[in-house]
Amino acid sequence: MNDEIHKTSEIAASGLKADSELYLSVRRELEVHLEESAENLENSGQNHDQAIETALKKFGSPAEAASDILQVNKKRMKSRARFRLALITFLPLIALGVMLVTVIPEWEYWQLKQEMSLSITKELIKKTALAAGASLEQPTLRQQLLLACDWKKLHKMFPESKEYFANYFMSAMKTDYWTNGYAQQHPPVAPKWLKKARKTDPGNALYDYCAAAELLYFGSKYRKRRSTGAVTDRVKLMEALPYYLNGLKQPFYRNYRSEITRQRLALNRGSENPASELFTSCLRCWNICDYGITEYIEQAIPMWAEELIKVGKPQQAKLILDSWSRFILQHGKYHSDFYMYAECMRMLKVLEKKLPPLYRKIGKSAEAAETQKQLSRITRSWTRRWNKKTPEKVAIRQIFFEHAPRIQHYLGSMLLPEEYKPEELLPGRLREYARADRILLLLIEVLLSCLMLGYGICQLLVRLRLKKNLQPILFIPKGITLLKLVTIGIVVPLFLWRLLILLQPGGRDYALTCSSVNFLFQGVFLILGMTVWPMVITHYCVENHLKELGINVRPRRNGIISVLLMGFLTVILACLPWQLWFSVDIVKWFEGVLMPEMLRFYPDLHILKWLYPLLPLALLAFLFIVVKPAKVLYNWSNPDNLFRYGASLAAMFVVSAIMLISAALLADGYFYWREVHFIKLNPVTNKEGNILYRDRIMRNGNAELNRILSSLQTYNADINNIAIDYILTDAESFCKMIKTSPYLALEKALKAGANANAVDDDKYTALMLACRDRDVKVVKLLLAHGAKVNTWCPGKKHSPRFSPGLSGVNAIMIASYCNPDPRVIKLLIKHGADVNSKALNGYSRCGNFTVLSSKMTPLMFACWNNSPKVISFLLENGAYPLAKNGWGKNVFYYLDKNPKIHDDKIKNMIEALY
Amino acid sequence: MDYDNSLIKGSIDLIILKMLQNRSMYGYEIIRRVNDVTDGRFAWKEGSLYPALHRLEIDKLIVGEWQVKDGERPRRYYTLTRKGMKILVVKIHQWNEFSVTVNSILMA
Repeated sequence: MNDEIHKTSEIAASGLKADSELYLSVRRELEVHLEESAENLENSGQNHDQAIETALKKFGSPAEAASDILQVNKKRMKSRARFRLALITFLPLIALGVMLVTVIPEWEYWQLKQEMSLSITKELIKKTALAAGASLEQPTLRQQLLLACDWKKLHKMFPESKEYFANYFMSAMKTDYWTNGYAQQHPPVAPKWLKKARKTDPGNALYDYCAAAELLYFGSKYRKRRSTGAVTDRVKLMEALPYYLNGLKQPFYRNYRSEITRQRLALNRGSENPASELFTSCLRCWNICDYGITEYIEQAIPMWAEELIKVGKPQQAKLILDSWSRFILQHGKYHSDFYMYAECMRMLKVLEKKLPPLYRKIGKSAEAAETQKQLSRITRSWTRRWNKKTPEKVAIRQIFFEHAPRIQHYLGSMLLPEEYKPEELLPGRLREYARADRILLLLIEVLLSCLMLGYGICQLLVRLRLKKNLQPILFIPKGITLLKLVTIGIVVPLFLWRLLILLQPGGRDYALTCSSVNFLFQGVFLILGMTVWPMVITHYCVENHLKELGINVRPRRNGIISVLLMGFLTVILACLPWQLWFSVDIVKWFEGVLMPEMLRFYPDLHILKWLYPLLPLALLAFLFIVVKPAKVLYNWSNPDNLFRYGASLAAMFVVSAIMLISAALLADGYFYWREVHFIKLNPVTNKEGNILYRDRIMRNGNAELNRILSSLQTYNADINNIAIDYILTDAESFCKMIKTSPYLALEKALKAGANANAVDDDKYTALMLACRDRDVKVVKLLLAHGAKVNTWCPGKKHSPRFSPGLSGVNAIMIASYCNPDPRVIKLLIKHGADVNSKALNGYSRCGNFTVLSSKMTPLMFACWNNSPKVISFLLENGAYPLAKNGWGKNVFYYLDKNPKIHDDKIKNMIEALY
Repeated sequence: MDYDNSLIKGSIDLIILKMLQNRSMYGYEIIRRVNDVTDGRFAWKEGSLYPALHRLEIDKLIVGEWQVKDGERPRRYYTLTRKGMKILVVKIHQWNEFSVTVNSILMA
């Protein structure tokens, strides 16, 4: 092409550069005109150059033409820009709509645990409470009582729960022991677990957590931890496993005990049998179905077995593996309870996966096959039993159906009844639509994806043809517009279709069953297909074409910048699929972490939730008023300014991210408005929010439920009329109160008629525990409420697990042993305690020793462990120093063992008395 | 004979519409046809044709479309629309009235 013609056409069309399509079209038209004019002149006898010159002369001034053309086309350019703006604005908005529909199910997945646990817990609580005979009458009165925490009235109304308070109180006292004493002994691990335990209730769960801490401790920190030794040889511990798993405690006990005596093993606060405790803890934890612990076992046992194989002890390894499988098969029985069933099934599957390879490693293929066979048989049997219909199961299954999609997502389809069909969740005629929808959906997804790709490819081809100067402009408007219209024609009905289904009752559940991943990709395809992909292609092709025409749109000085820009573009493209996750994560963090934290301090912030729906609107207003995307979008098609082009892309990325976040917030606001409280934000909740608490309920299943139920029964809360969150929260605050102020709690309980002589699992009375904990006020209170002074706890063959570790003793013995303050002993003596009383036949523990404590006197206990002050006080109050214990030792024997006594004053005093 | 530019500008829409009355034409063809009819007396700047064409296109009196005819280069053909036809009739009538009026003034 002649340069002059090219130049003239460029100048004449230069005013239209902002609209690249129009610019190219007009320019080409002028070029064709000039070329033809020149050709005609050439045919009439002029030479080439002359012809071109004449043609240009006839054409007139290009600048004037440019001015006229721009003047005329201004209106058209504006309208085209508006159309483009509308297209670029509304298509992503439609895509956003589809995404919103996609986000809603995603949103529900996110809320899965909370909602599921809440609903199921509510149902189960209701059923169990009713079965237990809980009265659900007079909700207002009970609610008021509950709020006022009027224990006296509550007790009068519900006398059967008196015992409960005393037990609870003792649990609280034990908690103090655990938190103070245990943490000191296990500094590396215990604090973390105890911290967790403190946040929970002070009841049984605490012990399990502590046991878990032990387990973890031994598992990970088995090497020397104290100067005296502890377990130095891990293999020994491992060897202990099979015996305890097999329940063969006695033979091992003897061997191990001598071993311990010999090595002075000081594990577990002086326990003589760490492995026993270890596995007891293990079993206890397993029994409460604590996922963390079972998981630990699943990891630890294969690890130990492998280690044994390594050190050349395959027989022991086999024993461990045998024990493990037997243990699971014995204990992991069929449970009709959903959580237990799920957990047992899971454990079976783990066993099925991990055990056979280990057996094969030690050359026991037959055992491997046999175990696998047995496990498969049990799995089948359990599944069959699970699928069998009983009234209870039908009821549970009903709950399952309600939550089926969530369960399916959470646990896989394994646990769902075979007859579960998501379509059934939909009402009437919609079922038919839904069936068709499944196929339609697939087709639409495929079609849309193809269209989007086709759209991009079409643009690419068009531009490539353009590059070759093949005038593809002819079909640009028709082809592209057609594609755009077809796309809109499919996207909008799809969106409406999904919306229709979602708005039906049960629709959300149905939507959950559809593949949300597909929707996600579809959304990404839509965004990519409608915005970035064609833009990038168009930019690339137009730029190449212009270059071909001699228009340099990318000056050399912008080389590095353009490389950076392309890098940025790549990042954007790579990030797009993550935009959704990213935005959901932000909201999740905001909702799940930040908001509850803030609400703890500023409860009034709750009102913010009401403003959520306004937030997207505010953001959009901000965008349109401040950022003025119209201006940015108007410049999109102008390839002259690379910076502006890049900036517009960046703006688009930011805008789409903000819109997605807004959509997520909008959805949340919507659900809040509809009073579907996924996360109940309660300012009185525990530190980690109800999420953790409900997690625990889900994990611990019935054990946790029973605990809650007992507290519910104590409060006689009306579960139908009080929000479940409130009850849970209040239960927690009650526990907290007992923990922080046991005296007040006890006082209330005792005044309300709680049994002052209640005993705990080790048969220690409340008075004994109070003596142990040196709390004069509590001792006084208990004595005032009729606590018996001369009561013995039974003698045991093993020292009790928990403090003070004495068996067959009474309150004064415990006070003499634990309490450096003689005031408690004084009080006890005042209330008739016998200073020369003798312990029953049994074993007690002191420090690292466990000894036969039969016939020990309070003085002996004091000499064994306590201060000279107490010993003196006892002697002054008539304690007989010549008494001998069950195996003929007197106080001197214990004085020698007492590290607190370093001088001979006491000895001299006793000798003087003697 | 060269006519005054303002006269040409005032009548260019009418001329283009008239040219397109019977068939579609592209820009250069319109100029050639006008030159043929007027024996070159109507010497206008070709560059001023396109703004006029675009204006008529925007007003939807004509419609432009790229076409490729056998063995020829792609050209943008303009076709008269129904609206353009109506306007052409009105414009011709106006022109006749106008010329008669002007002539009567000139003859007076």
